[in-house]
Amino acid sequence: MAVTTYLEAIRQALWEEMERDPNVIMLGEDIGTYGGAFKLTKGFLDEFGAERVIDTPISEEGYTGVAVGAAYMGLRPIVEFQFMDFIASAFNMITNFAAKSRYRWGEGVPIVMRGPTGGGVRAGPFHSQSPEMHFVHTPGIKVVAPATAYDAKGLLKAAIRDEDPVLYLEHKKLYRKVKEELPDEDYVVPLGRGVVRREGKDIVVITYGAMVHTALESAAALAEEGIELEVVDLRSLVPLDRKTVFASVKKTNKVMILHEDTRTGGMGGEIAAILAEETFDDLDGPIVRVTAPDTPVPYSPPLEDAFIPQVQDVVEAARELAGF
Amino acid sequence: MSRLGKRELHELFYYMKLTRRLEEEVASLHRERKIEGSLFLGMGQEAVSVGTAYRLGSTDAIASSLPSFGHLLALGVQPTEIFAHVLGKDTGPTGGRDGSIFFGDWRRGVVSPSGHPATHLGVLAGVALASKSQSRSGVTVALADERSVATGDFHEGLNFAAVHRLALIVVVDQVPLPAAEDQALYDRMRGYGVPSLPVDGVDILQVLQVIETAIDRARGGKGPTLVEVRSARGPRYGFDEDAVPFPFVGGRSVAPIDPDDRAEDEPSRDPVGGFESFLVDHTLLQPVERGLILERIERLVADGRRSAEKDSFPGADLLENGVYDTSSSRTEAASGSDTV
Repeated sequence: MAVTTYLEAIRQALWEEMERDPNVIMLGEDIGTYGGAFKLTKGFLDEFGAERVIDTPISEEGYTGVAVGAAYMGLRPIVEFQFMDFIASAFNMITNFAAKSRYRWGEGVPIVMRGPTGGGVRAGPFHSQSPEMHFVHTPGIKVVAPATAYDAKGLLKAAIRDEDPVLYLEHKKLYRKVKEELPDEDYVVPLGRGVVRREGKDIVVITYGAMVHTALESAAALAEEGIELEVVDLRSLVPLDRKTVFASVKKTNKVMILHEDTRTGGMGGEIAAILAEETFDDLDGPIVRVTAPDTPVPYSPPLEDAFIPQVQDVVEAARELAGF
Repeated sequence: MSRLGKRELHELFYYMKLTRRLEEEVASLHRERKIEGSLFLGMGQEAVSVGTAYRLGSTDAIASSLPSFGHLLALGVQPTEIFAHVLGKDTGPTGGRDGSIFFGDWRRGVVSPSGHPATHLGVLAGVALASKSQSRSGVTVALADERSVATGDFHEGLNFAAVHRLALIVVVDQVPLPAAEDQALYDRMRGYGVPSLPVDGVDILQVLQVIETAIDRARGGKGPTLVEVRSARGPRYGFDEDAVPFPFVGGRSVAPIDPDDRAEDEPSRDPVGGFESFLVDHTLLQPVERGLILERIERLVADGRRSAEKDSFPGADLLENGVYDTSSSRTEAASGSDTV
């Protein structure tokens, strides 16, 4: 057991999977010689060689296509987007080629698409986005978003071993901020399994990614007022762990959905619809969403702080919901 | 070019003629409203599609965004599979999930393209990358047309292949363009360090010769090659007035393939008829041999169509199958009551 950061956990998962399976390769911009924009892949080129750690031209669509083709040949490519915002440049290849391949003609595409997502580091509109819903809405792709170092490692290993394209969203604000002791032995966190991070009887906060920590901080603050939040960390957006969500809804009867992604068409809307359909009788109040507003991610600190849901936003929304 | 024996010459004729006859029959199915939606046919491209695929082996891969079915037939796909595919039957390779030109069969090295004209270049570059790293000698061939040349996919895929000297052959069937535009493609390939070989896409022997050169380069580790062909594809793309107008042709002057449409002194631009005449004129195809080939083609086309028409459509109960893998215990996808 050793204290490991979220970033180091991702690095370990990549390293151990590269060691475990010679078919695992990595492609991305500056991942080799430079060691990655966040130094996450430092040392990989020396250890595994240029055939498996491939520096690509700036061509997200092109090298995602390369990953798809290599996957058809039995390799297990991991594509890095230097910032998840750049995945927009590979949208066609992901949604029209990779996602539909198994359904259209039976050929699975076991690739992982990973990279830093989210805001809060003053990186502005092109290096702070949360693009998950473009892909949650695309049948054929799985989407995961770890909140802890343990999950970062276990979910990435599960994603690499999975037979379908997996979008793996690593929150850049957690890279060095979140750390914990990790087991020495090999483990995976299965895709499609959420987890209750904190138990509480009054309101369930359903969330994922960096917002898990915001929810936990809010829960600690509200506990002093006598409001007990239960916090569900989805971990996977697709497949979605309905069982864990439903159990918490049944227990608390009040639901808040919290995400850093923008509001309209966000995961909150989808979960709210599912709960309205499946758990209507269990609800004792309106389903509340605490999300970013429908704007790009702004640069200036006061603007970005207003954009990203804060503990105070959760606390205020919870107080109101508790009144029902 | 390797010397072609009579058997190979007959095979080339057989595959081209089979492609033409199959597509005529597919057109007929469309007219009869048995194929719904739009239909794209590659009449006039037979020398390109057949000639490109003819030399490919079991370690090679191909993908095409051209409407011709010739490459599939040359790789051994049976006409009935293609009929089932375009009819949306459950016996087709996609089980009715896809139709038209979107035919994929990985066992035969056929990658199904996507609906944008050059996405398969990058994918085939990935196949070639893996082939190289796995020390296989496979080559990959991407067939596309001039629509593809302006896309980012075309250049990102080709650039990647050039940087890594991958065994990728890109065959671009261009409608005749003004000379200045023709030169531009050639010049752009020079920028990538990729040789560009022009060839008359109506003459299958020329196509075969150039493809063999490109295959030799690819297998020899010399990297990608671009083959620029001018096929005889033309107005027959929109083969009847009810067909959805085919966007490839729009307003450009294209060479017709109907011999009756050409001027007296103009040579035939029909790759199938032209090759047949060549073989007959050089006594390489005797009347009896020709008769046997045509008879076989007619039988295959008729039987294939009949069989596919009898096949069943996929049941709606299969609609949601196959989006995700369900074969592996390692995946938690969409199985069990706790997940969606």
